[in-house]
This record gives sequence, C-alpha cells and structure tokens, in this order.
Amino acid sequence: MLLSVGGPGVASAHTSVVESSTPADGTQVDRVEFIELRFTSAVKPAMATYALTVDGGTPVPLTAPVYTDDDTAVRFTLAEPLPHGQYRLAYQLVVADDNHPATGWIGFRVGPLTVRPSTPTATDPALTPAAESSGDALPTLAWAAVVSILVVAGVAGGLIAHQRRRR
Amino acid sequence: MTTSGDSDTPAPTTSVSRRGLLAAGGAVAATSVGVAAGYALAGQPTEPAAAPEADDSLVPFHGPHQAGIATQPQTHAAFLAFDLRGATDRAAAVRLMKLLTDDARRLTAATPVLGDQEPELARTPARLTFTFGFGPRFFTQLGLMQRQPSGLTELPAFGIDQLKPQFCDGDLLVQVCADDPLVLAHAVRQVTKTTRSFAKPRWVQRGFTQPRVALHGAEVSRNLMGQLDGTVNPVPATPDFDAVVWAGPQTGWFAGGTTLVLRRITMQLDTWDELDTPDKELTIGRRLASGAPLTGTAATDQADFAAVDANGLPVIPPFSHMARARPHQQNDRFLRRPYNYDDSNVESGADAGLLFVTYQADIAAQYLPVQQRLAEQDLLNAWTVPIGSAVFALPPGCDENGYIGEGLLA
Repeated sequence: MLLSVGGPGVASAHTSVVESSTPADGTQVDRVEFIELRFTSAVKPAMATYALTVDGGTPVPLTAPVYTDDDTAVRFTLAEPLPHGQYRLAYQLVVADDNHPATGWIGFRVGPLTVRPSTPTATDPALTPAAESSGDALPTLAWAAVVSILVVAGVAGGLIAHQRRRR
Repeated sequence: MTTSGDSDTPAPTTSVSRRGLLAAGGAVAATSVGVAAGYALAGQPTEPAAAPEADDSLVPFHGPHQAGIATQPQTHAAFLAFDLRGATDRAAAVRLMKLLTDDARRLTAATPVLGDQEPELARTPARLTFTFGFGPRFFTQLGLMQRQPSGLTELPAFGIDQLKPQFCDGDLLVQVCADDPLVLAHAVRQVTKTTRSFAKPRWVQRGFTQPRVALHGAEVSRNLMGQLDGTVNPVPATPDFDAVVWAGPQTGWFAGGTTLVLRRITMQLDTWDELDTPDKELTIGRRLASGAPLTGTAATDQADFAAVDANGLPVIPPFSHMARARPHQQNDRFLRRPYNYDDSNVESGADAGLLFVTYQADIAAQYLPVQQRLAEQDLLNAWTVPIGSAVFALPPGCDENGYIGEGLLA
C-alpha cells in the first residue's frame, strides 16, 4: 500500500488535485526547507490560495509560490527551516482544464529522528515489486513508491536499524 | 374620435391617421381615457379567488420617475431597441415620444390604444409598464450631444466579451414588462407599430422571471443556474435606492432619470452541470438552496470576506463571483433587475442565459468598476459569456400632460 496515510487530505468531494508533495502527506521528516506540491494537472496560479498552519491552526507565514512553467507544480522556499510541529499546508485551487475548484491539504510532522514515523520500512514487500511489477500499477502508485523509498532512505540508516532491532 | 376602445367596432381606417390626431395635441384624449378606464374597471364583474393582497395590478404610468425600474419585476419582459431613421429629426422625435407616451398611458391603464386591432388584449392590467431610453446616438443624431447626461457612457471592450452586433447598441430603448405574456405581446406589437416609421427595429431581447406566486416569500427569482439572483440590491423607496439609481438635481433635465446597462450573458449550462453543488457554491460564493453567503445562514446575511476556515483558507474564495463583484467604494453599486432568457432552438442549439439589466445614476462611477473587476477575474466567467451590450439614458417620468423625454426634446 502507499507510504502515506491515505492520499492528501480532501475537504471537497473530489479526487485530490495534488498527486504528491514534498514532504509527502502523512510523513515525518526532520528538516523542511521547502514545500512542494505536484498536481495531477495544471492549475491557475492567479486563483490559488495557500495557507500553512502548525499544531492545530496557528498560521505560519509562507513565501510567494513559485510555479513550474506549465503550472503543474508549486514550491514554497522557506526563509528558515520549519520548527518541530505538526503542519498542514492547505490549498484552494482552480484546475486549468475544466475550471473546477479543488480544496484540500497535506499534513506532515517535522520532528527528530528518534520519534517513530508513520512510514513503513524499505523492506515492506509492497514497495519493491510495485515499481516494476505490472502494467496494472497506476503510474501514481509507482511514482509515490519511488518517492517514498527515497524519503525513507533519506531518513537514514538509523531508522532502519531501529526497525531491524525491533524485528 | 373615440377616446377609448370600449366599443367592439373595428378600428377606424380613415385617412385621418391616429398619428395626425395626436400630433394635433392629444392631451385631452389622454385625460379622458384615464377617467374612462377607471370607470370601466369599476364596472367589471369581480373575479372569484382573486389574490388576497391589495390589487397592485395597475402600475401608475405617471410620476417623477418612469415605472418599471423600482417596480417589483414582472414575470415577462421585452427589451426593444430601435435605430432612428435618417429622416427623423428633433421635431419627429417629439412626435414619436408623444405617441409612445400615449400608447403607454393607455395600455398601462388597461385601455386599448387608438386603432387597437386587438382591444380585448388591452383589458388586463397585469402590472404592465413601459420604460423608455435614449442611446448615445440618439443625442448625436438629433444634435443634442451637449445635453447627453454625463452618467451615460459607452462601455469599453472587455476581455471576456464575445459580443454579437445583433445584440448591441441602439438609439431608442423601449422596455416592456408585464405579468401576463399575452398582455406583453400585445403591448410590444403596439409600440413597434408606433415606432416603425420613425426608427427601425434593431433587436428584441425577451426574458422571464419566476412569477410572484412561485417565490414562496423569497423576494428574488432564481436564474437558470439555480441561483437566487438579486440578493443585496438597493431597496425601493429608501434614500439609499434614490442615491444609487436616480440622477440628482444637478443633472438638469435628467434629474429623476437613470441609466440602463443591458448585458446579454449566455450560460454554458451543460458544463456548469458538471460541477457538483459544493463547487458551484464555491464559484458563486453563496449556497444555492438558501442564497446565504458561505459565511452565513440566510440570504440576507452580510458576507464576511475576511473569514478563514480552520486550515486558514478563505471561506468565500477570492475568485468567487460574489467576492469579485462586491463594492470597494461607497459608490460602485447599482440596481440589478435581471431577466432569464432561453432562446434555444433546434437549428442553432442552446442559447440561454441572463439579460443582466442594471440601473444606476452614473455608469462610469458605479457600474464600470465592478464590470472591470469581474472581467479581470471571476471563476463564473468559465461558464458565462457576454454576447450583447447596450447602454441607455432613461429620462425622468412625466405627468398627465407631458411626455417622456420632454425635458430633453422640448
């Protein structure tokens, strides 16, 4: 199954417009210097609103969003790395091709490595075969699996060692 | 000459034309018609099961302001635009406006016009109103540019426009409204007959709202997108309404008049229906069922554009129609009195939308800033396209002895 806890948080009746993000939704990371959302299709920058909150709703200032040329991804480069806490980046967007509104959020925790993350390990059997397994696999699943593997690897060997000891 | 069409005899077809009689000074006729109409109505048998409230089906034609503006919208409307013929000079325009005023006096009093070929269709008041207006070229052609109200300005082109010439402009406007479509059709035919030799018909735009009986206490009708259309509007007979709508005493002959903007806005209803209700509501900024702003519970609640949800997102999206249309100054407000239209047919397909009609003392100060904001950004633009546009100056009202436009033309 996917690394993240379900998909990005959805506040409307839609399938989410956010295909993936950095940090990934539902993950814990130890350092966040930028936040990136990658969309399933182009959005309209002029109609986008974002809000970052921490620990249940305290607003956190965001820098100006910077989009890719085709408006399929947006990045917020933070002035300073985020302090520890449970964050939500909420978005209110309009999808370019059909003009439908899309609202939702991604959540992530910034915390020290000793705290047990909610992510499965690199030895999770669902991950390794998924990337090459079959034409049935949705591209987004494979993509998320690759990102997740990288995230887990980035969290470093200490974590994996911790998991191994527990086994 | 007969002063009213009480008899069932056919209209006279003598060489003394109706126009000739009136041009000679038909004020006496008009007065006696008014009296006759009152007697005629009193003598009619009472209808069973009439509306319980007081009968307001007769809207007075005379007064300081023209009717059909503050009047609660009637169910049916026709907006007729005409272009002055080359031979129509100022004297001819005076004759025309006297004739039209006489038609309006009679028909709004449930009395046939002179020479009315269907007098039976004139007997029902049905809250019939006539409202007359002059486009910019009316002033130009008649050499009256220096008397054109400063509140009347042409609209610039907007990026969202896909204007069709057949729904744009016009020298003369006749707005006809009634609760009864047959009464309306008859009235439209009469004024068209009257006007035709002075001005060529340019376009006709017909529309409808929900009848009063269907509104269940809600004060405004819905449009074809399902929205309650007209919440947050100046309220007639309030100082606020007067300040927004009527030209002030400093405008000379135009005092008590107003300007009218008519934008024909087609709706892409098939793709609009692809949105689910929450997305429609985010696009508009209001709940569909109640008309309440997304920050409130009742249609009359004031919207809170600064409100954010638990995640910090605006409850009313900044791209929503309501957020973009809201006034920024004290002054960028107007009376909205829209009519739905549906001229879809088999040959040309779907053609339905809104006749967006507004009334304001000054187009540039009050209407233009809002229209510019909406043209720059409004998510609703994805499903609406302006295909017609026209502006007119509506003169003040007149009394039993005058005619509409007398202050300008006399």
